[in-house]
Amino acid sequence: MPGLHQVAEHLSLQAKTLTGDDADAFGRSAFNRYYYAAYLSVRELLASLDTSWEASPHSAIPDLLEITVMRQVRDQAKRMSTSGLITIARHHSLAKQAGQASSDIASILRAAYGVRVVADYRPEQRVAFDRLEFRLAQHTHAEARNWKTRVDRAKKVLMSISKELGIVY
Amino acid sequence: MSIREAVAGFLETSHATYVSFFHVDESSKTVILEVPVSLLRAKAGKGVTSKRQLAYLKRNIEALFDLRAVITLREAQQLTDLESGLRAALLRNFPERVTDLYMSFPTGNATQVWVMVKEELDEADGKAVRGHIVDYLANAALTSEGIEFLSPSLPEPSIAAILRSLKAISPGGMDQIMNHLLKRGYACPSERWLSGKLDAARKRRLIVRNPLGDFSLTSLGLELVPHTRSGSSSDVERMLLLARRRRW
Repeated sequence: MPGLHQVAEHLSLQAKTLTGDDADAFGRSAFNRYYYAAYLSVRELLASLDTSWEASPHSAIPDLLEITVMRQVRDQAKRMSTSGLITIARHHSLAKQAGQASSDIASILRAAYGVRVVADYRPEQRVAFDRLEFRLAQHTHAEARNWKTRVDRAKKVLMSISKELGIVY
Repeated sequence: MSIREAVAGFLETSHATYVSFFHVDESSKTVILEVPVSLLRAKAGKGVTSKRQLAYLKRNIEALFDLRAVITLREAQQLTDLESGLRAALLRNFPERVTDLYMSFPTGNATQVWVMVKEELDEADGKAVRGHIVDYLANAALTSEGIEFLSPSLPEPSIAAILRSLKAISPGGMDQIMNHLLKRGYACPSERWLSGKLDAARKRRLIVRNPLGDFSLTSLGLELVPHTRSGSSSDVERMLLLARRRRW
């Protein structure tokens, strides 16, 4: 759903024009939507790697990426280099690249999920506004609006590696 | 004292100032500690930390409190700005070649760069783009962990994709393999090209060719094709195709 990110942008703009409780409500809703935009993008990635991963609970996804997905990449790269289809150098490079990309996605989701929980369940923690920026749970709006774009870029890396290894095709 | 306060107190006494934020998830008994990647170095020092020190902190927290500790790196504005700068410079200098750029920071002073390109670059263009990146990283005092180019879609199928197609349709001739790959969005440059790839796989005993000219995977080749337990598995694709053609 590409629209969610736009919803978040709209809510942020509104939040900046409002004051008091209204600003807080729009601000925290924006953080929630930024999280979901990133989450749905990751879910799409997981579904194309293995359809049974699509329904993974939110909190399990970062570990799934860093452990299970990486095990699959490493095992397959190893099989291919053992049988001579790719060089050992390529095998190591692919594993390293995939590790970097998947832990980037996992880190973003962990941070974003934490902020989302504060946004939804801890109304006592207020959104803090200063002149140009607002923040919740020490995460700025500028950071939150980068979540999805960064996830999308790291996703391209993982997809390209998975294709080279025949995990996705 | 709540777990939150206890962890906060522990972080303070252990001078873990590099932890910018943490949250405790009581249901899964997990504490997530965020560390700005800009503060990560190969070695810990004043105001900066290392992977090793973080692993130590994680072990200590897990031993002291009944919690699982997860350290997560957080993007730093300055590094994201450096990424935007390089992206803008490449898009401006190579508008017909480069479409996007992604930089990952394993530590605060090292980076892995991926350049998304329209189509595979020839040697001269590749060298020019690479040179540009190397200069930029040097000026930004970043060491390079690698520069990789990514094409939007692989122009030609990887050997892994060819084996996977063959698993689905085998036994199959060159035409059938090419057609199946095409349906999957891969174009083989020529029959000769595919024949070369198949020949190489045959010499490695991954596939065999019967007297009719049809190829099949050997057990060795079959092991190389990834399969999962889900609906998108190559096993399922094979079964569905077999069921459709009713001939085996």
